[in-house]
Amino acid sequence: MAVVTDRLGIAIAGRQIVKDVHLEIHDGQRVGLIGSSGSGKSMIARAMMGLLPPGTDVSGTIDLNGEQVVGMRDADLAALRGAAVGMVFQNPGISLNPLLTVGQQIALPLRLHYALSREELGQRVRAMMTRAGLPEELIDRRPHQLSGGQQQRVGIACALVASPRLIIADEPTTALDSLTQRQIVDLLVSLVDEAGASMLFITHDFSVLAHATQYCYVLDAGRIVEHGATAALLESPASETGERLVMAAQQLTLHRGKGDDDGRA
Amino acid sequence: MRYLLRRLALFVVALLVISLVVFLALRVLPGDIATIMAGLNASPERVAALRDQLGLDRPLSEQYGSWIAGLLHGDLGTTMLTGQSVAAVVATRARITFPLIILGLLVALAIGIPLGCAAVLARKARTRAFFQVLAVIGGAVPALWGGLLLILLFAKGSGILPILPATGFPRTGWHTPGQALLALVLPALTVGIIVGASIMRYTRSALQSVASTGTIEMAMACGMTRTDAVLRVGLRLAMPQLVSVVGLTFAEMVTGVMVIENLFALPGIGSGLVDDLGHRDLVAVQGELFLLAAFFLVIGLLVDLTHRALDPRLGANDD
Repeated sequence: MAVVTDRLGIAIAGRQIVKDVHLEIHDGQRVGLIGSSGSGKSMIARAMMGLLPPGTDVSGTIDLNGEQVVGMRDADLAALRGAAVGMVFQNPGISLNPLLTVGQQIALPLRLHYALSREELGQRVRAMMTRAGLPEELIDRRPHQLSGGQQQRVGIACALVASPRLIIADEPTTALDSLTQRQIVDLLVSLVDEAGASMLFITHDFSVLAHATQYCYVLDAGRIVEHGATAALLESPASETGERLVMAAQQLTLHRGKGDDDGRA
Repeated sequence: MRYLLRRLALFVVALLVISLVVFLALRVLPGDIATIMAGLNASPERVAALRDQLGLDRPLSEQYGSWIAGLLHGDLGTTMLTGQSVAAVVATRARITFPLIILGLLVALAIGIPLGCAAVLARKARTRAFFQVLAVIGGAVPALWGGLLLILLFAKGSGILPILPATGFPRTGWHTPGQALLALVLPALTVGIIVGASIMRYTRSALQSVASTGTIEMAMACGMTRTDAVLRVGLRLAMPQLVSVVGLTFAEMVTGVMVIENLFALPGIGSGLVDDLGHRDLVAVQGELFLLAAFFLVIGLLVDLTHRALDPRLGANDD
């Protein structure tokens, strides 16, 4: 799915958070959006999903395969969310519904968008669990009975189960330990590629981005300050923000040498 | 199951402690209990007869034991005023108070939950502020003033729209259910509006705390509209908190509606307790206080069990 944002601006209570953002994601492309905390990355993701809180002012355009998201009615946005665009959240421990079992959680997008029989639903859920590396015996467990990595796998399964053409991953590894981070990024990349979907991967960690994306945008104080192929940007960042983020990634020894498999990136 | 047994055992212990507190509270009062009950001008013979009748010259442990034995057989003693059994008097009063608080609570839920949801769903800051002001005004209205206002508006004989009886409960009681119900409409509305404002505030705050966890966003990301996510997911997640609030509000209302009962001349539990205290009928007061405390404990037990049934995470921590 192709996405183009143009002159995108987001303001909350009169304070401009995002300014004049132009961003493109082409069909089947994995694009990164990097910036330090508070730079407005998550706001852009939420604007694409129509998840901004009430009272937020959005200007400019967000074109999702020819459909204009800015100003769209909530009911129309709901029809896109989950079915055409899936989202993986930063902390599944607090975003997954604590009252639903893993099976019910993963089945939710299917229930909301398709009229499937009980059997079909069960089959699709179990197949998605297998793809997401979740053992079938977890199907009746609730989020508090899972590890952080398992919770994020459930989050990924929810985002992908209805086969959306665009996945927005909002810092999906931040709440995880470094080993699980790597597994989750690998899983996300392989599932997105397998489905032939596009992905917007949001992070503040260049080392994760290098592994997950082909192209990236650098955001500073709500503005895009630099963009280009992830590998090239990692090699020689042109902006001060880019340079700072690359240096920070290089200092994180846990990730060094892991972000080099740019056959995909 | 283990939790249930533990909770039931705790309930029994609490009930015993409360019975002891109620029993002792009325016996450690300054002065002689028989003199207080007989009145200051009573003859010494009358006081002695009363002391003998109530068994006040027996040791405290013996008095407590026979009171508990009576309780176990449903005997709360006999009122000094009418000679009726305290249990029968309380049961008669409960037939007014309980329908009143149940109706009041239904009105409060019908007002408070939709308005609380609307306050969270409101997109414009002005609308949200309006709901906030509404909740504050509703909560600030004194019960007496709210009741009088409703009487002025709707009471037969004095109201602008005289459609409802203002005071009294039919002598025939619930044998004429239509009249009995009509007599409770204005008091229930008064209770409902005031309690509804508080339920609205709790609903809004519970929903807002749920919304901030990200579960609402996740439900929306799966394909729900914001309204659906708040009503179907948010309200369900907020339910344990709301059940606690509603349960405790219900328990408090038994005595909390005393002002309303007095205003509308309804001989309910709260106003009856005040009457009995005024008449120094300590046997009745003792039984009524024990029943009220036991009722609070039962509601607390039910709230705990419901809370647990509604939130599977609690089971993991307790067993």
